[in-house]
Amino acid sequence: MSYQILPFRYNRYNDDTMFLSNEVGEYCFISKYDFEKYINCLLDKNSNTFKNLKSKYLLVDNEDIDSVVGLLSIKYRTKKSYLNDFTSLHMVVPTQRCNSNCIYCQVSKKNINETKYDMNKNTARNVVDCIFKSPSKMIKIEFQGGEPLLNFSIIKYIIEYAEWKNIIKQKDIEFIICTNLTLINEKMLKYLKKHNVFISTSLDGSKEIHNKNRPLLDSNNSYDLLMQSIELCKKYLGEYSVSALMTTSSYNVNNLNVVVDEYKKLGFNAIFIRSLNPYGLAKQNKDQIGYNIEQFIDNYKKVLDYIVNINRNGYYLIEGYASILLTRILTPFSTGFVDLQSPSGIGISGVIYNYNGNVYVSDEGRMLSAMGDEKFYMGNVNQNNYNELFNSEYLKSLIKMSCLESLPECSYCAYQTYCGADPVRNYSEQKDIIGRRSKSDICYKNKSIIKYLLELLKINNNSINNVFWSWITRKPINN
Amino acid sequence: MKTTNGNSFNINSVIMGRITRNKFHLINKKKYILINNGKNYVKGYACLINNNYKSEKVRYPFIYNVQNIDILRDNDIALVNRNGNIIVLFEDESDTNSIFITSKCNCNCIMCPQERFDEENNENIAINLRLIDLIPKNTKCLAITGGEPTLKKDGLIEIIRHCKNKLPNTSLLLLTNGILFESIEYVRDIVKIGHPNIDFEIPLYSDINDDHNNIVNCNGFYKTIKGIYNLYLFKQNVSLRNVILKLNYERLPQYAEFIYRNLPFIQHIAFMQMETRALALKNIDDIWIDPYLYQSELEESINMLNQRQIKISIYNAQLCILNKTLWKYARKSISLWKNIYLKECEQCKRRNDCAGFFETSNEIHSKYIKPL
Amino acid sequence: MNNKISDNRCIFRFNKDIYCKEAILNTLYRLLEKCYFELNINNKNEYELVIDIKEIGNIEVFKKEFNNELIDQQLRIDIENKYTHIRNLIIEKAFLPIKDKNI
Repeated sequence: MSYQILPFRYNRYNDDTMFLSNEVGEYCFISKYDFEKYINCLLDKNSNTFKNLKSKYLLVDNEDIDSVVGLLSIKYRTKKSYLNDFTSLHMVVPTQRCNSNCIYCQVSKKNINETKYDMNKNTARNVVDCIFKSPSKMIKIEFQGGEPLLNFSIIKYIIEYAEWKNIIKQKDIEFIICTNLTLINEKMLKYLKKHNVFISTSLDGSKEIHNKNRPLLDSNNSYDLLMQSIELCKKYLGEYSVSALMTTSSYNVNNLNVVVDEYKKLGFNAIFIRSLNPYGLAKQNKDQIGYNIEQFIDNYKKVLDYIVNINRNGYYLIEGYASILLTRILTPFSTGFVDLQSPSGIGISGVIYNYNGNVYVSDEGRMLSAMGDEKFYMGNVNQNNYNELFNSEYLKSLIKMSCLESLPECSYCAYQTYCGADPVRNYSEQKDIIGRRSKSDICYKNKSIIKYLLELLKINNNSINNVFWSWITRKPINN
Repeated sequence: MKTTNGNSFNINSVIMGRITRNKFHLINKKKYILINNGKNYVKGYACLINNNYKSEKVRYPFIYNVQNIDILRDNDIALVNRNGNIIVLFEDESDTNSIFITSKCNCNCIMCPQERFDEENNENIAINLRLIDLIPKNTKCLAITGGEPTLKKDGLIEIIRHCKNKLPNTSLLLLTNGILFESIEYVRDIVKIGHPNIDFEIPLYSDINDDHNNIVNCNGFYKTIKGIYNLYLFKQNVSLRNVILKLNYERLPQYAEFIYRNLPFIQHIAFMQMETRALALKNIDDIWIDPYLYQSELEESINMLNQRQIKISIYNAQLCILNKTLWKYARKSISLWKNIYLKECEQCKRRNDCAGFFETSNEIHSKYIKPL
Repeated sequence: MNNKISDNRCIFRFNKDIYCKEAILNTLYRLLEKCYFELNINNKNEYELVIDIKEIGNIEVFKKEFNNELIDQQLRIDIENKYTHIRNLIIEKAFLPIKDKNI
């Protein structure tokens, strides 16, 4: 009659209910009363609670332990499968110069005439050589900055050199440029079209909000220029070639619905509600443009409801952060979002090559270096080989400190499988790579958003579930 | 299978051939069984069949006094034996023909609609190889079935190989409980044959091992799942089927969740109404539930699978008892030779789209049948 | 047995047979923002925990919060002992394919 409990974590969802989750993200809400019986192996084998727990691999009959351990190990491997191929996201900084004057600039940009902050051909070649040493079959090369288009010639050089190398290597390569689009022209677009390059831009809201967040150096009206450029891109590259993301400042944190309306108006099908990262100007001007985390979370929940309803009314719009979390909660698959992984994706999933060849574990690591702290410096492509950069004791020790399974509080958190470690953020906020959860804004944010999504899932409303699944599968609901 | 019989004459062993009523074949006469109602004797065919009496002068294999001779359609492939039995192994008009490997099974499903034959016909493999020789090359699909086909490993492999050689354009559908595929070597041996187009269809009746095992009457649940994983490891296409009974309808939604969490690579799931004959009939009190009564569980389960982008079909279900939203999944799945409609169906506007009923179901069906 | 000494300070005593050191420390870690502490073993071989809370006057609420959290932490440790061998098996089996490979 006996059964064995399988590994799980729990929290008290409310006074009467416990939330349980297992190593592969399957979860269950059960009453306190049933929980008591469950952990003492007293559940009635014919009860629905018993069957539901068994179906979700939270318990197993004693005679089946071997079979179930075998099955669970396969599922566990699937959840961690993003580790299989090593670094697939390679961010390249062609220049640190920028013509924007965003109030929250996190990368400590340089003036547009300081060309010594441009990447040269030698470095570019070494960067591409290094990228191709990665065992990953899928490579995404993402140009960041500064404003990448200020050094378009190096972008072209990198794209062409990479394509040439790929004739032999035969990897699946994707190019994407993160740009403010102020400098885009027909000639560039024709080039980008020819080489199948995607565009990611920033749109923080309506004209008023966007201009407040993201003025240019020489103009206070970046919005109109952005609109023109987006039209141009769509004309040359296609309707869905441009994606956008937004940054939340004190100017739009209370008006996130307005931001969403703007995205809908422009025909975007995805938005990523991003909170401010405490680097560069964002940290410096915290008092003016910052907000506390509770305010962000409150408004995030409201805008998430708003976006879900937009979907229910027939317009397909994914919220990026929620869709990643939902994939972790509802599917057996892993996600490749480097900020939400255990071990963290720093270096091993994503990496950044600065204009001077310096390699950092993540974009935030680079931002710290721009502020004077080289803590997350891995090496330089012009001086170190691939092995020295990626197989170093330094990187390994960082990774060891970013496995949630062995971090304080995370090790027993019921949301562990849905969450990820952020050692760079811990260091930048708390001067400690491991960090303390009670002081961590990221922990508070993730817990709150995950709990909110679980609340919405618990309601089991068919149309809300349809929306969520349409985000996970990237396929709009067919009505 | 369609069968009929008559009196045999000059038949010493099993004869197989394509049914024809054409007396004027010039070549390959030995591949054909001629239906010849008349006094003309035609030379060279594998066998002659008619519905009247024989003549003493005939020296060839001959079956006479055959009942229902019209059920034998041209280009059906039949087997005749010395007892005068005529068994149609392949129906030209049907797109669901099967190769029957063995009647033995390593399970004992509580709703099995298959008659058990006590004697195992040891010539099954040889007969099937000959059948494959006769099957038209443009046949789209063949099922391989039983009992449990994987019980005869060598025969199964030989048959698949023969299909690959003789019917390269015909896709195969292997109906199996997958239990023996728990052995990865077995799966490797099947895959090694290199057949270009073989799908596997495996029954899984519940998300709970005990519930599934009680239905199949053997300890198969985890073995079947392991078998499915092994097939997936070799990149094979696997589909599931689930016959809905009183014993498993309540957990249909949890079943959907379980499949997605554990077998997300499944190509397709077929939910089936039972065929109430043989063991199903014997156990009817334990297993029967009026399909009309489980529509909400079925719909919830299908909604969930839809959200997760898993393809679905509903087999053997009548449109009048299915929720309208589910009609697009209903298939006309009942083999022609046993497909009937009721008196109530005569007035029904949807009759042509509806799967209808099993003639073999002994008149057990939903109480809620009505014309639409 | 808890003793309130002042509005900001109290002493907890824990029987070592009921609560393990790990459970007490995990609980403290969780509530570290709210207090200062000193942990010792007294001559009755009990854990003796002296707590000074940072926010003056809320010592009763803190005591209750501490006790509730402690039960959860101890429970987690007890439950984990019941399945830790299985978790090790699962992870070992999951990484079996690359076990002896030189990566």
